[in-house]
Amino acid sequence: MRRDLPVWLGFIGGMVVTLETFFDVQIIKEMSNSFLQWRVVMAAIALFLGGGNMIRIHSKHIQRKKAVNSMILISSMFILFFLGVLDSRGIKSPTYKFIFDNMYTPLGATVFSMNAFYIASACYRAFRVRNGQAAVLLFSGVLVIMGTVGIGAVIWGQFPVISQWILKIPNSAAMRGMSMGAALGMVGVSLRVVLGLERGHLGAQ
Amino acid sequence: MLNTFMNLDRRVIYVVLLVVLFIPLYKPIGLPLPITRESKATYEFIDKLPADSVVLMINSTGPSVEAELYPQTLTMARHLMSKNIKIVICSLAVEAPRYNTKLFERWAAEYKYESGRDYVILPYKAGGETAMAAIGRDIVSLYTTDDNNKPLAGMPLWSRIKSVKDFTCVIDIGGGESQRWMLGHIQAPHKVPSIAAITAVILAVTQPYFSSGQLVGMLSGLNGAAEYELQSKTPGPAAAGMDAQSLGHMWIVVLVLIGNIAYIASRSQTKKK
Repeated sequence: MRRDLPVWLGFIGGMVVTLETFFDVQIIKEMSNSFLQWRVVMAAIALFLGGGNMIRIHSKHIQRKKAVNSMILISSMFILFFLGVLDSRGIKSPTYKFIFDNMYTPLGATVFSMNAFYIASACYRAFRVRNGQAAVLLFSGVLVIMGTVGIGAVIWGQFPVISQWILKIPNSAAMRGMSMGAALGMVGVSLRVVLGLERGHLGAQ
Repeated sequence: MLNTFMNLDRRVIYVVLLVVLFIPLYKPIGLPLPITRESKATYEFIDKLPADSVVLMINSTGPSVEAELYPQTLTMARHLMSKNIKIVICSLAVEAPRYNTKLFERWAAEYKYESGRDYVILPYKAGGETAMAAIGRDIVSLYTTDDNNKPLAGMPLWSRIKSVKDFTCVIDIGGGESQRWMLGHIQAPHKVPSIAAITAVILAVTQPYFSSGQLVGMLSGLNGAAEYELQSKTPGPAAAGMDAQSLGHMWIVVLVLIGNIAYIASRSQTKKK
């Protein structure tokens, strides 16, 4: 029962949403719309589950080693949660706005900005002309960069033209091939899930 | 000597990058900015939209991508408002609602935009692709209140919306997979003209959809926003940051060249020995 029920539910849900794409039948359409809206509600519930899981894991960390980062994470999570629940204005409350604009946003942006430094260092170390393929990657990368930034156009007016050509022709061709391959793979995996052949997500071996 | 160039200390790389980013932010150089055909197409498409038409913006901005996506959202929304085009905006990322409210806090008064009449901010919906699919299938059933918990029924702007086909254009703003979701669940089945505002890092992935005509426009990264600002003659935060970005990229190119020249020279030296 624990194994079969989710498989059957998956089969019914998957078939209804798939059939709705191919057949214009009102009842299937309505069922499909309902399933999609249930899924949105379930995703919202999953956010709570995720929050609960984080509390469980980090509480253990705190108990074991008095981890400062875990304490900060849990306390900031609770502060924001209660601010949202207690103040009926939710994200419109001045306190939430203050925390979001002056703490959360700058911290998030700062962490992401660090990437610029790591990328600069990584490019310098990794982009070496070790063979023909590396050379193609390197030259196309440099040409695209030079064509995208203003200083490239100042150095040579053809950089933007070459950059656009690389993005439009070879890049589009390669990405289309990869996208089609990935899409076909996804159709195959989805079919296996809907038909109950793939049970990895249920914890089966 | 060769060894020094082949193994530059990372602190040198970081300090020089910091300097080349700071100088133009402090004193802009005014480097020219080539307008890409994607940005041009985006601007021209939005510019030709009839006044009073309704545009749906689907926002997935978060702090990590704010530097690239928020200037794009600002400049496009400003252009839409200057043409009296109505805006319905929704969020598929949990942080995005704050950016939506900030957007209208900034521009609504200037363009005399009123909530419910000229714009509607819809609340966050979880589910990612499923939420996008639900928007495509039946947006009216999915949303019943706006982000202030006011019922949508009775709002003049919302009463014009029966399905996603009633939007003259859909603009997806996100740095992940949301563009693909929009194309799959809104553009392809309903043929609603679609625009993608993306982070520069996913340009290569999104480009084929613009080349194929599935996207009528595309803004990529901070330069996409800057190009749009220049075309709409409203220079803003993106244009101001472009010199810094330009020089930062240039430093990366210089680093790659230094590393490779030293690498090739050391290889030929080893061969000679």
